[in-house]
Amino acid sequence: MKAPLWASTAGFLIGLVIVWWLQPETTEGAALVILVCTAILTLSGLIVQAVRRKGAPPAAEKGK
Amino acid sequence: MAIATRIFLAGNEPIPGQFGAVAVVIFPNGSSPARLQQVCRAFVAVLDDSRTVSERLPDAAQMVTVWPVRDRGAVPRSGVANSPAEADRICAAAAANYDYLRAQQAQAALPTAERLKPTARGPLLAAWAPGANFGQQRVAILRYDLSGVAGDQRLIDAMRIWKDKIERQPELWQSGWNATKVRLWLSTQVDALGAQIGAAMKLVSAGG
Repeated sequence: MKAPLWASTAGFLIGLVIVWWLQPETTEGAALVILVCTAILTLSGLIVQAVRRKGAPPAAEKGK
Repeated sequence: MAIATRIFLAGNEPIPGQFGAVAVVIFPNGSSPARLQQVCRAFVAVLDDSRTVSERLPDAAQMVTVWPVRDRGAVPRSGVANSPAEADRICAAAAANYDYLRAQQAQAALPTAERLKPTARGPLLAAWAPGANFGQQRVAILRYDLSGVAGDQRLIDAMRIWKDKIERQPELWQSGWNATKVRLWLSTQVDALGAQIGAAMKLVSAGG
């Protein structure tokens, strides 16, 4: 399953904002924040995508 | 007008009671000298020297924070640091001569819930107002646990929060959380965790 791009991008941007607010003193700290935020949002995007697919009618039935 | 000041007080000198408030920097026994020095540098950088302020303002206007030392002669009497090198010199002496006994006495005077947790690295800043009420319960007490804060700049920021809080009227003291305190704590944790992960990754790559 391909992760939605919007989720990863949003996670990355949120990570940047949090880094700006937290002002960690090390690069490792900043990288950790961005990675965790990107991972969480990407995972959330995958879950949302899976739920939407499950809720949508199958493509074959759609055409009838 | 209240002004936050600092003083290095030796074990045989009584806690001065004439001040508007008296606070103590409390470290648990066996704290690392590096940690003591780091906190001391922020202490010296942010708070004004009490004796210098006493020449111009009445003591009652001072909210003084005490750094307890065992031997008065070991720490420069003026305590004024005009340069980072001088601050380092003062703090090396203040860290080496830190008086854990007096810190324990100050902590014992706090309500149990307000004391440092046994595993905390400190320091805990605790203030009583007015200064004559030092060590008494049922009076205005301000506390700030700096255990979760590390790094020179963050400790300076934390000390500024302390200065800002202690300068307020004691009736308005609040020891609870605020956004800056949360930021300093979180930022320290993120740096520490990042450093641990970085070190672990280096170990793995060196092993492989």
